[in-house]
Amino acid sequence: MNRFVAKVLFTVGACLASGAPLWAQDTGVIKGKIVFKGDPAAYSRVEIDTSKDPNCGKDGKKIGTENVVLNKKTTPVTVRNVLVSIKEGLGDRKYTAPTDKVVLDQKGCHYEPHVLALMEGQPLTIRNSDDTNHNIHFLPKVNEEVNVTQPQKGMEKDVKLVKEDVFKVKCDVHPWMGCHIAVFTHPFFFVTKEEGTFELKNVPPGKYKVEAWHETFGTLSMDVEVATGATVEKDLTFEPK
Amino acid sequence: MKFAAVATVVLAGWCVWASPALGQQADAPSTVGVTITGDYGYGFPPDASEHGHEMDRLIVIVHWFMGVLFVGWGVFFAYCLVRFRRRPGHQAGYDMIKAKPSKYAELGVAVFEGVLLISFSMPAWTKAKSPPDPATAVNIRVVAEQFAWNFHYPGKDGKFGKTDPKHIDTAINAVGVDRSGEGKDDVISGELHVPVGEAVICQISSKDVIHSFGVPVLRVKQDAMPGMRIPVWFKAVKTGTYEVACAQLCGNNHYKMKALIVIEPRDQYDAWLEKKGAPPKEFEEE
Amino acid sequence: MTAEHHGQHGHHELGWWRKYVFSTDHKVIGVQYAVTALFFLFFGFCLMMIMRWQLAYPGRPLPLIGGLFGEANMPGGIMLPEFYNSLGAMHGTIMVFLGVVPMVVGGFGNYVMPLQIGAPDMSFPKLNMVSYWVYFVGGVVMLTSFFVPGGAANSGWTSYAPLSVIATMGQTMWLLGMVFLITSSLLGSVNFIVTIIQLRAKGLTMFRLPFFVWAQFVTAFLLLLAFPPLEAAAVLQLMDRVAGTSFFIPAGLVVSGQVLPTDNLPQTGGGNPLLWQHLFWFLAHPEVYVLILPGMGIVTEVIANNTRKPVWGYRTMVYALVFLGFMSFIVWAHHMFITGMGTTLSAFFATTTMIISIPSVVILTALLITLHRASIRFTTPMLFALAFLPMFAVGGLTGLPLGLPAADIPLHDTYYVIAHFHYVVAPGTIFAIFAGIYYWFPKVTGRTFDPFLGKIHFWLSLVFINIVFAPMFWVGMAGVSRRLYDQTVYAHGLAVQPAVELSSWAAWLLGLAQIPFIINFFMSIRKGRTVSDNPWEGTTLEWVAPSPPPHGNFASVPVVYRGPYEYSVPGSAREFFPQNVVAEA
Repeated sequence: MNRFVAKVLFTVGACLASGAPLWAQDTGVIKGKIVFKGDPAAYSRVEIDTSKDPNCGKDGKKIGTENVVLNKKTTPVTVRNVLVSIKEGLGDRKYTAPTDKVVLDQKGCHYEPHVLALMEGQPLTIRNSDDTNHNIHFLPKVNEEVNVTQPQKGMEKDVKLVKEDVFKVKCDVHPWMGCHIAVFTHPFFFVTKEEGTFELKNVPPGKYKVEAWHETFGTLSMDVEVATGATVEKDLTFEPK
Repeated sequence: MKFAAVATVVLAGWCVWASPALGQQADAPSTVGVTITGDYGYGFPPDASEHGHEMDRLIVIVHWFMGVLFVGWGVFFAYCLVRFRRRPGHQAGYDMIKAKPSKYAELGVAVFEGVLLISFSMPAWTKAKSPPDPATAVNIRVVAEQFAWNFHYPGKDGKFGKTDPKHIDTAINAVGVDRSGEGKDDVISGELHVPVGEAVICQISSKDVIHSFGVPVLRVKQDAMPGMRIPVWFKAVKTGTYEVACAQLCGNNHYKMKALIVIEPRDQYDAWLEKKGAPPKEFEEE
Repeated sequence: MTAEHHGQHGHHELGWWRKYVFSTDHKVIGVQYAVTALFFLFFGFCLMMIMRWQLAYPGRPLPLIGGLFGEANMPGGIMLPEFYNSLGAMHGTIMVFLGVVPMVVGGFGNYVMPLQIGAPDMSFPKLNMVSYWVYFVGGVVMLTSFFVPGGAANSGWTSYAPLSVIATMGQTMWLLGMVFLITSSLLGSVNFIVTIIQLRAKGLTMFRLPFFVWAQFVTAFLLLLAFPPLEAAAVLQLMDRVAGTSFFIPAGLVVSGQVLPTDNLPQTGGGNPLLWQHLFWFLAHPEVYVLILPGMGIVTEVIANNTRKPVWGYRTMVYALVFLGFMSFIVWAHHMFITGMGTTLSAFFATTTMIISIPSVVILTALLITLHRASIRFTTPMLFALAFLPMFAVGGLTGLPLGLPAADIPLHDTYYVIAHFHYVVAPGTIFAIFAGIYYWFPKVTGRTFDPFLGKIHFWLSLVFINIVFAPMFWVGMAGVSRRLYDQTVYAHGLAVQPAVELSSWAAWLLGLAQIPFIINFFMSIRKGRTVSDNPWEGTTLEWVAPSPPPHGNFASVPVVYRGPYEYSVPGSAREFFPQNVVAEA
């Protein structure tokens, strides 16, 4: 009995000392791929003509349309820039926003990243890395509209988004520039990249509805159940007509 | 009191003296890799159009007229200030002088203004407002938006496709041309190219607020009114690369709403249009 | 007004608030207008001085004070285009509607006109007080707009739709402010017209009125008849912005990639931006005559007084003035030649514009001929009044190329236009305002300005103001558009940048040149040399009243026996005859 109690006390003590929350060992992971089913050729990207502003293509890099970006090199073909997040199942849990800065960069007259996800209240900095003027224009549904110019390279603007929202951002100077910003009340979101995979870490055990949103293909959802400390792997497939 | 006066003069003098030291210019953001044709300075910009000289000539004549009036008044003014300054033994004259020359001068001014209007301004204006038959000219639609110019060419079939906001793709179809049907071969460009020596009719419109299509070297200026399509025409007679400037306050980036206008020989123009009309290249990632 | 009524009036003793703040005495109201307007003129000038930094040194941080404007306007001291546009729009609005007009009409008109007609006050003293306070509220609304999210209005003082309809909150406040300011002008104009018609002293026929009063009379008609369309238009635009109407928004617009209607503008379609332009310019053209006519009135008074002879062609001048007022209502679309106007409409407006130049030429020429066989005293007010003449000539003459449609095509909305209208208003009207301040200050305070500081103020202002605006004609002819945050983006702009820089330096020095005036002003109120009731030996009735005039103005009601400028009458013992002096036996 004493040994058992000692073991428990030791474990608790070790956890507290290490700073890890007691329940962290119990959290699971939801991961998977966002698969594309169909003919990739129907969704090929085209080169964007940036000659309107010669300062855009200064470094020689070209940019292409981004309304659908497929990872043709993966097998199966996956979809990039899909926002995967937990939609339902977190209950009343409250999460505090991390204090690390998220940056939306304007480089080569192109927004990086194309889909930016962050938490309510997390500091967001918009940076102009180009030798030309940009006009960042948020078109939010519930947050405050932001419409500011950045006439010079190196200018930065700090923004705080405080409401849950998914909205478009465009540049009023360069019409082809566009991206999306998603604001969450919790940290369980992921934007797919070149691999087309997503991973939601530190998910507490429970039943969840996970949603995948793409700006052209729309929304898909799936139900997952995360057991204590388990990793759930489940894919979602976009099959546009 | 006097001290304040002297101090002010000294301060002002210092500022004038110090100003050259502060006169370093920031590097003006230039258009990378593009040289604008022509010499620019404190007078009229280069004239690359067929009819521009009529406007220039009118402005010059008006200014000579203004100069004659101003010098006439000015000489009389200076003369009076000296001759009729208050001094001992000098009395002001109460009676109204006849000033007949003034009446004739008045009449002359009115007549000359009439001549300027009827013989110079109206013909030039009427010419500017009378485009040739569209069938014989190059037809281009100029669609302005915050903060860019879009130039829409009808393509080989010579017919503009239908446009609708629902077809707008901000990356590759800013004017919203319906690509099925007559709009298939339409060309949308951020640069304006026109063939030299041929009449060009531009239909000016706007997607959002009032802009103004201004081309100083062609002496062309026409407001782009949302909800309207207004024609303006010109014939460019000098080749080169020049600038289109938005000439009506349209928002925060009005100052940079610039487009290039390239005036080139017919064969080069055709080649450019052909190249621009080709379907957009597929984008391959590195 | 009989002496008995005067006595009854003097019985109630007013408290401090009713005497100095909510006064119905035209003189107190006139001073209130003048002081408030001077503050706004100074503020509007400061806005422009900040703008001129960006114009001279585009994109460079403003030294020393750059950080004072906040990250939203000038991050790191570098001006943002949205702030530049706000400064431009508010500079124009404040100078025109909060500065010049309240000064020349509300200030000079209110103070001097009743005195010059021998009246004890305006016809409607309470209405006069209301019109000042409504102006004051409008001014507060305009100033507050700088502090709302998005900043002050930034669509130009012309507020063209649809830009002004999609603009930030500051524009709504601008429209509200305009409703107050226009209401104030309408109330005031009614008062002026009735007062001039009804309260002239016995013997003061219309053609014995000082030219200043005639100028105020015509100006009041311009305000009364031209402002209502703009007030209506301001309400319409306000409704487009906040009430879901669409007077000025056509269908099918796409703003920032979004097809209208959107949440911000829930109902759009069926409107026309040209409607706003017509309604706006229908006021704004007569408005520019509101800006100049009182100034011409002031200058005429000062010139007659300092040439010691009657104004040449007084009747001709009056007829020209009335004709000018009438014509000013039918020239407005010369501001709109480039909107797509055809040949017929443009021919009409070009013709009326050519015709309206004639009465201006007549008035200017008459004032010039007045100098012939004069005996010119170069007092400080006279220096400003004399300078007005060639400066107004430049401003007026440079309107000619703009009024000819074909010549207007390359010059429209360029710096040529800015130079043109500034010449008329800045070395024009504002010099007339200075002339008036130096001239009538002794009447208001019983003291005089220091002449040495006055002359320094004059010469420095004259030199620098010309250096500011003269180069702009060439900058405009070179093709540089107005309202550009950075004109060096264009080859034709870059080429004339030295002239732009020169204008900026001259503007800052012009600002410094006002210091002698400011010092002189505050010093002379307290310690200026005291003078008699009529230090300039003037003939008009305001010089009959004590300095400063008491409530009720005249000890006994004046009776007028002669015209307004009886100086140097041949064969008489006196060098000048005030209007109320009976003819010599």
